Amino acid sequence: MISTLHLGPVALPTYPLLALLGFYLGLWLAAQIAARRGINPDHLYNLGFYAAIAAAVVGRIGHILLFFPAYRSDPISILSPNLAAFQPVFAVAAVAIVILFYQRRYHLPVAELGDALAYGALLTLATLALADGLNGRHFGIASTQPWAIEQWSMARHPVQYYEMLGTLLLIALLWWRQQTLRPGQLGLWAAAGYAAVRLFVDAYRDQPALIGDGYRQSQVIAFIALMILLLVLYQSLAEPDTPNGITFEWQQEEDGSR
Amino acid sequence: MTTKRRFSLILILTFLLGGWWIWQHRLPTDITASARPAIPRAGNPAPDFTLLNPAGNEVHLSGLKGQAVVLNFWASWCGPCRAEMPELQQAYQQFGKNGLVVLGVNQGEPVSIVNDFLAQLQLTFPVVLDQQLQVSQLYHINSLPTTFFIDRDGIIREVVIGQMNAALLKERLRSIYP
Repeated sequence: MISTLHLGPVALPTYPLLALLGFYLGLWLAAQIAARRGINPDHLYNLGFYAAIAAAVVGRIGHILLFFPAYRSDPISILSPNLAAFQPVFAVAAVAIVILFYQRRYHLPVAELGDALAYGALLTLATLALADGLNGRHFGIASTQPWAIEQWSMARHPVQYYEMLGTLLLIALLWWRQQTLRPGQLGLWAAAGYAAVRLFVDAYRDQPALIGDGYRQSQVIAFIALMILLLVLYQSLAEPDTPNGITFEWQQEEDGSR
Repeated sequence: MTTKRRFSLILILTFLLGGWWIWQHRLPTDITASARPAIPRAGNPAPDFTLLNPAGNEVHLSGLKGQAVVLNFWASWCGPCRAEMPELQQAYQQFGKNGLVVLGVNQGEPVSIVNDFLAQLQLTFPVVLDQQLQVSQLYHINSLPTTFFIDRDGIIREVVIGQMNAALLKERLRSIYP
């Protein structure tokens, strides 16, 4: 595990460092896709900036509201740099509102914007999986495979790296096929692909949250999400000529041959 | 075969294979947290250790079982550690009589420096000396302060890296001291 990078007298924690890098990389990739979809990539960078500010401010406001007496007795702690003093639900809601507001303000096409954001999110998730691996978070079950890694005093499945590799493979696959996908498709396939990756690799994660009769919660959520997304894609097949319909290359070939 | 039929087949196969994969990797539901290996992660038993306090007496972490423990790693040269000490002291004074232990683990400093620091900030909660840094290594401490919230059964419920403010400390205390 490499949870700290030592650069001379400076010790840098790898998790927040990679989280920041992942956020930037995801934004950069989203901007690339946006440009190919006819959206000015500057919109993506602006959106990322506003969303980050909103998440930080509203996340902290949420924490202040929940623990107002503590903050009232020590107002300076409102500026505490500790990222744990946040309410994630407030931050996520703020990000969603910022995206919605920005999309409406600049009349950005929803399907194209969704494609760019979902695809960019994949790279952020891959970077976070790497950060998890370096920090021993969400570790794997015991393994005797030659590629097992030593984490928490035991040889374990490098499940964080399985997730990273699966997600990178998905990014490559979608990049290769993007020209054949209509607006809206890329985002749907990105989400479905990531759900499939999690459904597969989470079988090797240790100490998962369980539901029902010992089922792994994250696998069940991924499975439900995957089935819903595939059904949405299936539904789109019924109307291949609509602007948001799904048309595959092999479908076009088939239609053309008729 | 038409596109829709092909896709239907993919849907059915995904449903069957996905369902089988989940079913295949079910886990027994009767595994308790205390049966897990002792590693310094939330949800696992806190690794046990024995260290000396400034008076030269041994303190065993396992000896505190039955009480909620806030295990705080610190050093006198660490500004954020110093800044959060009054909050830890206040929590100790407020809840100490009802089963909350704040245990400070000083990283590798001489007893004289530790005693001066405790006197200067008027800290009365127990402190132990990790002079060989073996407990810091056991707990994978990479930055200071780092705080573990351990419940009455000896299970780590939360880990906070960095300086806590009063609100964050209060929030995390809820996980071990409801």
